[in-house]
Amino acid sequence: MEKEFDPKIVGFFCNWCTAAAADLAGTSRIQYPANVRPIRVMCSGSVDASYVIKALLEGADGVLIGGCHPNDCHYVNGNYKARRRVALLKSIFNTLDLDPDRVWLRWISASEGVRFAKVVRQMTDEIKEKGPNPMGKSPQT
Amino acid sequence: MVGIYAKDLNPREATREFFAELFGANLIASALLPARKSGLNQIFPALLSSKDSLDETFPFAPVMPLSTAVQLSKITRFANPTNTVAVLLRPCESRAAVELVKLRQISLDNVLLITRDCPGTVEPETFEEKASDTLPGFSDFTEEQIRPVCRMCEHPTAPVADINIGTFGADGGIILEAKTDKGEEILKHIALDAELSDTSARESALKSEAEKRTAFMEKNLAELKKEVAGIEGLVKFFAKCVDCHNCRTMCPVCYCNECFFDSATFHFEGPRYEEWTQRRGILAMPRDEILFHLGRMNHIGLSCVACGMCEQACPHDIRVGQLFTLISTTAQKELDIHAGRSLTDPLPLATFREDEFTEMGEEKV
Repeated sequence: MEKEFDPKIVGFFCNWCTAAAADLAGTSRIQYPANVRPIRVMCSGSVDASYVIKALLEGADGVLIGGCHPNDCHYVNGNYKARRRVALLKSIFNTLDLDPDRVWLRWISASEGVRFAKVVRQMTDEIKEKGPNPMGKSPQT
Repeated sequence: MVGIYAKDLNPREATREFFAELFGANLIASALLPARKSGLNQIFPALLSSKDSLDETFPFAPVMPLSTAVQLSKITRFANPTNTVAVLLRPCESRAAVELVKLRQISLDNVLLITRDCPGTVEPETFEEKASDTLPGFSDFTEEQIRPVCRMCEHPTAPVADINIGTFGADGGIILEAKTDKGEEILKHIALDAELSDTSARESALKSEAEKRTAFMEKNLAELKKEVAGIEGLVKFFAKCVDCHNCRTMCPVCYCNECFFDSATFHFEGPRYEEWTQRRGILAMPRDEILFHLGRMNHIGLSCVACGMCEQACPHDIRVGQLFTLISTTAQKELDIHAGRSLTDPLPLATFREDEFTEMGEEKV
């Protein structure tokens, strides 16, 4: 029998909110799929589009960027800048038919361990539905 | 103020005359204009210190070896000239200059920004083939010889200038239009043949030119979009890419001193290559050229003025300028960003609006 597709999701989590929420989900013993490979960053605004693209070209099936809710950014407005960058990335992916829905931006505060677990579960399910990311399968990428 | 200037002369001669008057009235100390490289059939921007060399200038030569906006950056980035320098730019160069002003790579102090209408350009090789003692003009080329990015360009005239030199709708001579107070002040000293009170002929000429180009753009980009669709399409499109980064080097709005894609981030050790090869079985070299192009689209897509210098610089004739036109015009429309529109527009990626994309990030679970 063919092995069930187990997606790899690269997570870029803001140190001040989503990374703490992931911790909280863990210490609260909330169950969620272990498909996310988390990378802690200092701010969602520090996530350059090239990091997201590189992850997808290297075989990630999805990328989850977690930042603070609007007006809660530790650095005042990094999350707003992240939002505009993700909008641009999605516009470009859409034009090039590269599946913008493999890139998720979600606001998850430090207290939202439950939301974190739900987002990861939802994303894992949806990426499973989509199947492996073709961007990472080409030898040319 | 809008007026007709030197109506008995052709646009080239009229523009030379206009610059001669600017020099003669001491309104400018130097000028940056397209000029013939001495004895050669190539046109490059050159700095002139007096009207004596104006015979060597070809303000309307339909060729653009590089974006003059970058040369303007070189002149003004570290310290501005002490005396006024007039700079003649075509619309895409003016729009690139606006982006570079926003990026603090150009300062317009002591710069008189003069723009001119542009019907399009050909590649330097095409220009050279047609050139002899006399240099060819726009009408010496067929439509197919005009660079595709020019045929798609929706800006036959520049949005930002002190003075614009208009040819669309001109019936002999040129149409001088002051677009700033500085421009108005200068034109007071220039002897216009007549003030142009009715600009409807010019407006309708510009409108029909823009419509023709938009029609070509829509058709061309729709075909291109189909061709590059998906990662397979993109890989095929860039199949000949040698990762030389010429496109980036010639891009007027790619201004970083050290590009991320040239940085030590991409200096990998042997064992990393081994690991990748083990995982994939086959590893195409050089690595990361798709990342480079997609990354550059994200870095400068909102500042892209679709001048196509990238495409002209590509040693393998990849239609990278047309692809950038496709993604940048789409993204700029969707994000309501207008590269080159105004000196007071905020920088696209360093700013934000609280009320944009408000649904993003908020999905309830």
